[in-house]
Amino acid sequence: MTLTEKLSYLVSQRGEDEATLLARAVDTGVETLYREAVIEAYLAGRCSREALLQELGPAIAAEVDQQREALRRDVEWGLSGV
Amino acid sequence: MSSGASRVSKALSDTGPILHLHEIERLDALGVFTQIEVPARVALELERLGLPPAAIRGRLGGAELVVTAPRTEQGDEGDEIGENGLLQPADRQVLALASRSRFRLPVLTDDLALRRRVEQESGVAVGSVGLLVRSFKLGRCRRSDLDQAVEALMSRSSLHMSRPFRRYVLELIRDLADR
Repeated sequence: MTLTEKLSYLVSQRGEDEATLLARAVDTGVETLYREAVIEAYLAGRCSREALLQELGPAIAAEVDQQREALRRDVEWGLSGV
Repeated sequence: MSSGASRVSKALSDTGPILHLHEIERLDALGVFTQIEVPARVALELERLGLPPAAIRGRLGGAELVVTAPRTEQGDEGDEIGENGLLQPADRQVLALASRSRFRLPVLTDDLALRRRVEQESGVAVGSVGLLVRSFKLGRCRRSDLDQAVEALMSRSSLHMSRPFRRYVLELIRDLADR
């Protein structure tokens, strides 16, 4: 399905006009990209945990830490053994 | 390649690593073990996903696949361990098997909730990324194969890893020497 077809589907399903849907899509997209950029900066050591907490909240910060630790241990296990 | 890592003997697994490695055609990475044990509910999940144990035996890089029947008729073994509300029934069975082994056997999982429970018991949890890295470390694949497999795992498999974590993993393995 093309982007135009998806947009038409949303217009018919939600009863909202195209401009409103596009504005919301941009909002959602930018929010997602911003969140990813903050997480990426944190994982690369360019952003503090305090900043991560402030920007994304404790639940997401904890999830990021857990995922990072899981991947770090995975690679460590792969390289060094049990 | 000279390596300090050895092929370890046996591991327990949930559905995730088997499914994800199948999706990128790298089931052979499970051959870092000699035997993979899965509980009945995991075998059932795999079957529902089009991966019946009979179809994947022989594709695990030399590892034997063993399906263990639950001890209880209901198949909900694992509930007695407690704090398992976040775990799926199949993962509860994996946890029960791990408990039976006193958490001495590594548990293969990409599920963070199961990983947390295993690590709380001082067990070792290993995900698909770790299996691929170990496979490389043991000289079972080349560096370029590892890079391709990790990229594929994160972009094509149902593991669904977001861009920041993809970059993080690639950074972690960036400096590994080639064979």
